[in-house]
Formats: sequence, structure tokens, C-alpha cells
Amino acid sequence: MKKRLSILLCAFISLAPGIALAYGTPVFDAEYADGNTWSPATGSPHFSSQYYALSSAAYGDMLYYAACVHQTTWVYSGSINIVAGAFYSSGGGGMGTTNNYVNSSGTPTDQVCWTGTDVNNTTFTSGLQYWLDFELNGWWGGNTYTWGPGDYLRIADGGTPPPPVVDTSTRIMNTTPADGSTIATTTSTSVGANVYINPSDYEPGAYVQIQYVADSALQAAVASPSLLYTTVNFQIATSGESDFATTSPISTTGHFTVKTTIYNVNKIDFFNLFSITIGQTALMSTSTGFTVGGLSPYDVLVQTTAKMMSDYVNNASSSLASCGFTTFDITGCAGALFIPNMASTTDLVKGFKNGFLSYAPWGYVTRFITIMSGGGSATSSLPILDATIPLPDGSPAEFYIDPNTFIPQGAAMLNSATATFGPGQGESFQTIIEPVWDDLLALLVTIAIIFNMLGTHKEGGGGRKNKLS
Amino acid sequence: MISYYILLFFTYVLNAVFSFLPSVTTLPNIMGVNVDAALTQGVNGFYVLTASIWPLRDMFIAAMIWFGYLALKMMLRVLLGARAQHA
Repeated sequence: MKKRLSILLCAFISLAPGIALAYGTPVFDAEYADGNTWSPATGSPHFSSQYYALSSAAYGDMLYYAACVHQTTWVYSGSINIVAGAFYSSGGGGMGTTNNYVNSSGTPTDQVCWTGTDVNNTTFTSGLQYWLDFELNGWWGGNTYTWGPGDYLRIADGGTPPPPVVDTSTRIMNTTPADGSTIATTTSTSVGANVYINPSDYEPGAYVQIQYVADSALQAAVASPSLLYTTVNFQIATSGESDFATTSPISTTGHFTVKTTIYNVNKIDFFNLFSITIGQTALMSTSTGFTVGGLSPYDVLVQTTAKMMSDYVNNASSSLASCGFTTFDITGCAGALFIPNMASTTDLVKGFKNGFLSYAPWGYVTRFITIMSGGGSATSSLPILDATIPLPDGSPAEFYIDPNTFIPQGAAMLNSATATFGPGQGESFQTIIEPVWDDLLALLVTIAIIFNMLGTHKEGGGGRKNKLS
Repeated sequence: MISYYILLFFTYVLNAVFSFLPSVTTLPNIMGVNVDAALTQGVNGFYVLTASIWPLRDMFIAAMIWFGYLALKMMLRVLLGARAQHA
């Protein structure tokens, strides 16, 4: 018997193109089995190609099924096929196969459910033994679906198809860019999320927060890493399914980490007259990631040229219409042809900086300049001095100095001091002194540069070597 | 458009030709010291100071102008070489 079953299993797999075995622990719901219990309901969790011993009550019935899967465990982008087959042998003689391909076109966005019966209307016949294979696979093969939480399969051998159990829990169904995907650098990356919020969880004011950051930026030691994230918030107008998206420029290549959270606001009502909001509660949170890859030179050329054309066409100040036959204007046409606009020039410089200037060894110079210009990270605090020193009697004495508190406050106090007499009466200390200070520094720098160019700060002929001429 | 396209072309060529070189995202560690993190922390701390102490900020800008002038002079000397010395 075992040998025969093995042959049946191999035959079925060979008939299912691109088949991928489904593993895990799907739910076999016997409640809808027309009073019959499938034998593996409490048996092996191995889902594919199980043998089901039918009770006599199933004879004369047809196969019905319902299944639901989630995209969170979906690893393939393409058509979906469920293969349900009943194998039966006839007294040790021939055997037949029934395959049922249920296709759901496109990529599922969240929970995908199917119900139906076998195509060939196979009726369970007394005295036969059946194999049932219910599999999820991409038609082109190579992928594997792993059964995850909430996935299930229900099988009935008669009556009507069992109803699918729709997931109504508050959840983040998917994010954009998709988890694990690779996108190209662009100035208009779509960042968003598709969420479902249960009516019982929803409060007006609830919102979805998406935070993303390049992992390379997290390498720098910063006092507040959360500031490194780019944060986008979307208000949720109502319960149920909502789809949010916005465009954001992403020019850094490498892996990005995305944190998506559904927040519900905490409110306190006062006799239904008014309410105040106190903080928020995270209902659901996911952490995903995507990779930004650089485009090939050809792709960049095509993309940028198209964008360049679009920019110029849409830019009224440098309109190509000036180059038209009937609207020709030499000044406008020359300007449109030879003077790059600001957006294009910015893209050009960014592309040069993120490309050529980032390569070793001169990339170290670029990085140094970036740090010196304050672009190394988003740190916005000074280090805190916190030390504990034991006193002679053994008791600890803690010294805690937070310069982030007293320096800004002290500076603000000094700057706000006002003159009580003279022409600047009523003006602040900074307003009066800063122009003088700036002029003094500018004069010193100018004199230093002039003297250096003339070489007059050197004695004898030594200055000649330092002259700019 | 034409000038932009020419510059873009050279950018692509340079990016493509040197793309075999490793891309630098952080400064290297020197003798176990994370130079990138230390420098970032120090410079950003300095910027925090300058936000409160404006005389320091203006002095920093003046120093940058001075060092920029020296760097420009050094670059001209490298590019023009001995010709500048004998002019």
C-alpha cells in the first residue's frame, strides 16, 4: 500500500507544473465535512498529498473547499494556483486524477480566499481510496509558500462550500515598497501602507506612521537615532481597509529599514461635552525592509533624459516653446537650450556626489566634508557629563552636567539683555553687537587674504614664494 | 539643456568607469578608534554650540573662508605648477 501511495504522490507532483509543496500546519476544519472527518485532521501537519479515508457517508458527495492565505507569507509575485486533486484507485487497477487549478490573477494584497469544488465533479465512490492535494504555488514554479498564522483550509465532502473565514483583525497588510523588494534610486519613490483597522479598535484621530531610514545612516553614533528616520503620517478616516501612499525622494543606495505602526489616540471625554487627547497607543507595528539599487548607466540615461525633457517642457521660465517655428524667440530658446534649470542642476550635483565622489579613495574626502558641514548625522545634543565619585565617608556623590540645558538658556539670557541707554536703547545685546562683530571678522579675513596674496607678511624675498602671481 | 546634457554625460561616464571602486559611507577606524563617529559627534556638538553662541558661529564661518582661500591657492599652485613660480 505504501509503495502505491508513493507512486500516486509522485504522479501528482509531476502533473502539477511549477509545483511547490506547502508546509506548515493548516487548519483542517471537519465541521463542514458533512458529518465526516478527514483522517489527517489531527494527524501529520504535512499538508501536501494526504490520504483521506472517507467514511461511507461521504460516498456520493463531491469535494468542496475553502482556503485563505496571507501575503505576509507570500514569497512569489505572480499568478496563484491552487491545485486540488482527488486520486483514486480502482480495486488495484487503474487510477485517475482530478486536478483543479484555481487561479487568482495578480499579486494578493492581503488575505486571499478561495472556495469551490473540483472541476471534474468527482464524486466520491464507495470502495475507492482518495488522495487530496491542495497546494498553493506560483504557476511558473520555483517559489515556496509557507503556511503562516491565520492561514487555513477547510474541506467538505458534500453540501455547499464551507464559508471562508475572513480576517477582521487590525493589521498592516502590506507596505510600499514591498518587503524584501529592490527598487531603483528615484526622486519620487512611493512610500505607503495598506492597513485594516477593526471597527472596535478605531478612534477618530487614529493614524498610520511610516518611518524609514537607510541602514548606512544608522552606522553613525548619534544621540537620538530616531531623528535619523524620515517619518510620514497618514490620518485614518474610517475603520476598515485603507490605502495610503505618498512620494518621497530616495537617492541613497543600500538597504532601508521601514517601521510601520498603526496608532490610536488616547482620549478622555468630559461628559460628552469635549475631549482631550493624551498620547497614543500602538495597535500594530511591523518592521520591513527594501533595497535601493543604483540604476545602470543606460537606465539612468533614459530616466534622466525623460525627466529632463519633462522639466523643461513644464518649466515656464525656460520654455522650449521659444524654439518653436511660429513662436521662435532667440533669447528664450538659447536660455532653454544652454542654461540648466535649478532642479536639473541639483539632480546633476547629487548624482555626481552619490556616484563618482563617493568612491574610494576620494570618497573619504567627500565623507569628511559631509561631516564637517554638519551632514554626518542628525545629532542635536551635546554629551552629558555624569560621574559618580565616592566621598571620604564612602557615600557616592554624583556630578551631572547637561550642557544642553544651561548653555542655550545662558546664551538666550545674554542675548536677550537689552540696552537701557544710547541710540540702541531697547535693543538686545545680540542685535547691537553682532553686526560689529561680523564686520570685524570680515575685515580681518580680508586683510589676511590681501596680505597673503601680496606676500607682505614675509620678510625679504620670502614673500615672493607665497604670492599668488 | 545642451550644457546640462554634456555635464550629465560626463557624470555618467565617470560614475560608470569608477563604479568598480568601493563606495565609502563612513570613515575608517584608526587603531580601534571610530573616527567617523567621533568626528560626527564632535562636529555636530560644535554646531549645537554655535546655535547658542553666535560669536563662535561667525568665527567658524570666517575660519572656513580663510581655509577656503588657502585651499584655492594650493589648488592653483598644483594646477599651474612651476609656471606660477616663474611668472
